[in-house]
Amino acid sequence: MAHHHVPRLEDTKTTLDGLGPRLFAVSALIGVIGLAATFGLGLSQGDGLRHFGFSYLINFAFFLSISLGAMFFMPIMYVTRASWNVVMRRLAEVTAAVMPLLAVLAIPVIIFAGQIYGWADPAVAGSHAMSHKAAYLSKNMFILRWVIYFCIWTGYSWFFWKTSVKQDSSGDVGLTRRLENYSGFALMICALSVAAASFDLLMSINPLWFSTMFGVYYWAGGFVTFWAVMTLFTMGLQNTGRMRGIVTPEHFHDYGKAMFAFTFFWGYIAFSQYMLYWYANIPEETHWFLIRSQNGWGMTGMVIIFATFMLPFAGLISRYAKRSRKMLAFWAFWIIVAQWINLYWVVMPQFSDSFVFSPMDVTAFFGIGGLWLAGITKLAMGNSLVPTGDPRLEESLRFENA
Amino acid sequence: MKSSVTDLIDNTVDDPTQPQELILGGQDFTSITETVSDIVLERKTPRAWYIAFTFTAGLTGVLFLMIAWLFIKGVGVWGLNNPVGWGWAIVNFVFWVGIGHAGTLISAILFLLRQKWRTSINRFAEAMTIFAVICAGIFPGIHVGRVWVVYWLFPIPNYHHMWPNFRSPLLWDVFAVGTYATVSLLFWYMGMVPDLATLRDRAKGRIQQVVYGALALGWRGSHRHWHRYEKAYLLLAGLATPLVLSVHSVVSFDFATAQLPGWHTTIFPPYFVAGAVFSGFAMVGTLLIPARQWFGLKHIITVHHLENMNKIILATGSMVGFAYATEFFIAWYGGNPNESFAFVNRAFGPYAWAYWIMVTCNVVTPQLFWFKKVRTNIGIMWVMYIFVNIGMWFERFVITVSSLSRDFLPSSWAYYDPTMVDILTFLGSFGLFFTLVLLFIRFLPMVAMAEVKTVMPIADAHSGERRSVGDYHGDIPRHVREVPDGGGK
Amino acid sequence: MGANTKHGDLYGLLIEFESPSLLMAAVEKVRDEGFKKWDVHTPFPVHGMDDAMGIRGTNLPFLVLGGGLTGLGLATLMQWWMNAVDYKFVISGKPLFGLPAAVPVMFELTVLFSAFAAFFGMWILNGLPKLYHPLFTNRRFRRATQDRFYIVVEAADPRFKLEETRNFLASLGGSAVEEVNESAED
Repeated sequence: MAHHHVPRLEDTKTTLDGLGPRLFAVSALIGVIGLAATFGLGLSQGDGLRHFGFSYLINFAFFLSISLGAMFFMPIMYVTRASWNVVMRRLAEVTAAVMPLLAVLAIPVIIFAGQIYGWADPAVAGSHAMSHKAAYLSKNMFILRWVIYFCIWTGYSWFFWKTSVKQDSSGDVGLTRRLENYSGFALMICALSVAAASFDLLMSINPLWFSTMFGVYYWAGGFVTFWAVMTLFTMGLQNTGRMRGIVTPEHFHDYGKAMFAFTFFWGYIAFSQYMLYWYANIPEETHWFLIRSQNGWGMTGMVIIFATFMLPFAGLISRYAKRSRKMLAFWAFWIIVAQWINLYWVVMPQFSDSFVFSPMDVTAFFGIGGLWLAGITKLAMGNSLVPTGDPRLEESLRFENA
Repeated sequence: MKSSVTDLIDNTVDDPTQPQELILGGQDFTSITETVSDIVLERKTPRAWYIAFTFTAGLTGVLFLMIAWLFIKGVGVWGLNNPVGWGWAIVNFVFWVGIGHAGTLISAILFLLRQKWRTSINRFAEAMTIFAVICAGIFPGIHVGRVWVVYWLFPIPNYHHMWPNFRSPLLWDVFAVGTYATVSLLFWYMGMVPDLATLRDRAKGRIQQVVYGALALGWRGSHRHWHRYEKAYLLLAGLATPLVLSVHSVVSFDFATAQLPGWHTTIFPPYFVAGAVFSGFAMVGTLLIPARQWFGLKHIITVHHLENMNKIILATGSMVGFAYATEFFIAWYGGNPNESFAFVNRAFGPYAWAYWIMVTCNVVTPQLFWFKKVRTNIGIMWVMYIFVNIGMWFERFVITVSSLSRDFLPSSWAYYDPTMVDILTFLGSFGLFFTLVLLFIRFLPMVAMAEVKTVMPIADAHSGERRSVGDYHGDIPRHVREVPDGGGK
Repeated sequence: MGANTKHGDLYGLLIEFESPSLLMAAVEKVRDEGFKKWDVHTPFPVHGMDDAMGIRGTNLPFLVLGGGLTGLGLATLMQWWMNAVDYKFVISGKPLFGLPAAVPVMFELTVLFSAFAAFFGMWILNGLPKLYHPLFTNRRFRRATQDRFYIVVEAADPRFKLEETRNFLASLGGSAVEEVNESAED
């Protein structure tokens, strides 16, 4: 019977080899061209690169959220001693380990902070409402915090990635145990730093608005996107003849479940945040939603309710959809686009009260996305695409959904 | 005798190359069936059970006396004042509902996450959930003031031609808690039917046969039935998972939709859910440790199971700590003086004593679970469960009372003190809870036998070995029977 | 009942197995033999049995979907009609029917009705409760809910021939092939 057959790594290709340099070159080229085009378009706006800054920020925040999702994924799987995901874990490891590149890509956000962030405007910074936190929301403190965030994230994603790679050759079970021991603590540090970073990166664009849920909101969006990206990465590699037969519909079924579950979770968080401010109706809180509910942004918001929540929720509810390769790929792609629109809706209304869309938003997507993918490819090139030394790999290969 | 075997094997050793042994002591299907159903059918009820039952039934009596007194005199017998219109009744409501979250988490979410260890404890936790929700349901019911019109909470046509106000979070609570109680009950009962059939088939007394027979609905283990049964179980688990998120979220809406400083904050829904799971696991542990000891279940509910629960307590306790930190940060960051005052007032105002009890029990205590020694020491963990129970009650007290007692208008600030009626009602609710738990332990299967059997290595039909296991009439003592291999491979 | 005129009072034949792995091999053989009215009885759901028996999926998910949609529709209509049509009153400046405030009850009733559909639908599709069944007359069968595994072939099956089927079952490697009657006489 079918489930007696255990797939073997030897039956498929598990390295990027020839594909690596090509993928790296193409995506890096797209990235450089994309960023150059964005910069050019930004200059042509004649607004002191303000629009450029916002377009850049959306896409930076987007790709950062995916890598942060990957960063959460690894320790979660270690603390729960889960085995089914082992076969795809290397892809998550490199997606998280691209953090130093994201640190470099954060520099423009800092350079253009004056154009993006309300607190950088001296008129706002000097206002009474800001007086108590002017020091916290100052450029120097902002830079300092970003250095700290990236030190934490780089250190820890590299620790997970490097340890796992070391295990490829040694097969040392102790390494797994070591990662398990550090995972709980890693999760705590991550939760705190990601929440704080989301306040800095997105919430403080409007320095007068606040929401305790915001960190969870940003994280949830990134985490669901992470699963969609993993799905597409794996399928893409399979289309080139890699990882075939070892990542089966059983694994994809679980990717689908994760996308479904976190789509729901994201909807729950987004709804709670909105409803509580809608209900209490306090002006200092509702103004954030007010500008996002008119002049075209309201329509965008309606699109988001359907695109990020209702439709993928309905689309992924059935077992059939989660096990059909084409449908899963479709919804993974859909979720990525929808979560991007959501970030657009979070960021862009601070740039303009009425709806705007510019080619820069797209070129910046390809610019940052291209470099991000090139970075991930570079990291994936030297080693196996599968953590071959992991003691739970065998169990992962044999995995079957009950 | 069984414990001697158990003590030899430490199944908390973490070895990534080996699947964990969930059930110890060389158990097979026969011995699992015997161990669990004998508690109900064969074993003499321990004298301790009667003593405990007498005591808890007495406490339950106190609860009903207090409620009767309340009905006669009105809510003035409580310590409520102006501005503190929500006192212990609401604190107790949230406390009990929170405890009622562990069962569904274990039975639904851990099921979807394929956490096999859940099978040893899910029945117990589900039962506890239902009893906790019953206790919870009493408090808002008796808090309405005019209890004789309590049916106005439901959309029932009445002679006033009134309908309930669906825009009120308090009404959402009626639906959320009502749905939760109903679905938990269905889930619990459905899970129990195969085990009730086991009791029916082992029962010797006529009354037992008839009662368990009726409750078992004629279950005969048909695989055509199992097939739909498993599908229904999966569907119910899928439904119960968002439901469990929603219940305590809706409870948090009672507070968070208000404009009161300290209540109105967006992180409340997930923070309440994490706190609920935290307190629920602590309560499950509080009850499970004595139960496994007294009823010889140490080989089924092993230290490994308890350690896993402790890890969940650590995780959810840390989430609660994270939420405290976020709230404090945003109270400062937001710049609203009333909001920041509310938090300073909590930590240093008249209720500082309650606040620091809460922080110590909820944030500091669970951090000890980072140490494996603590996670696997029965005595220490039991003490810590008690701490968490206390801490989570105080969390609800701090949220409810400290915010209300000092809101926007300093001229109407007032300190809240509970009365004896408040205190006795709360203690009485423990009486009801433990009475129900004791009845459950005595009359229903405490461990989900059918589910435990599925996670035993010998249940795997594809292990390739044609093993013959167990011997019903065997004269070999159960505990020295050969350990079925396969557990280690 | 009634379909068993061929063999009088006989309900079917029962064979016992000691472990799931022994059972599984036998089940596949019974399936391949082409029997239609037969069943497997186990103390717990044995993994892989659906394939071994050749059971197809169930309609239960569609029932649950129907239940969920009913609950959702009902909750929406109820809140709208009660608060915005039949008994209008403005409270805390909220619209008579505002979606954010309606969502919690919509969600709860969706889950409640889905759960009812899953729970009651499962019992109805299974034909339970059914407190009497011929198999309950067999003493051995009591272990079907404890620690033994059974295959039962009904006399009503068109391929059922008492001696042939008995010999076939006996060849499957289990123990104790027994006849089960419709009603308990002994």
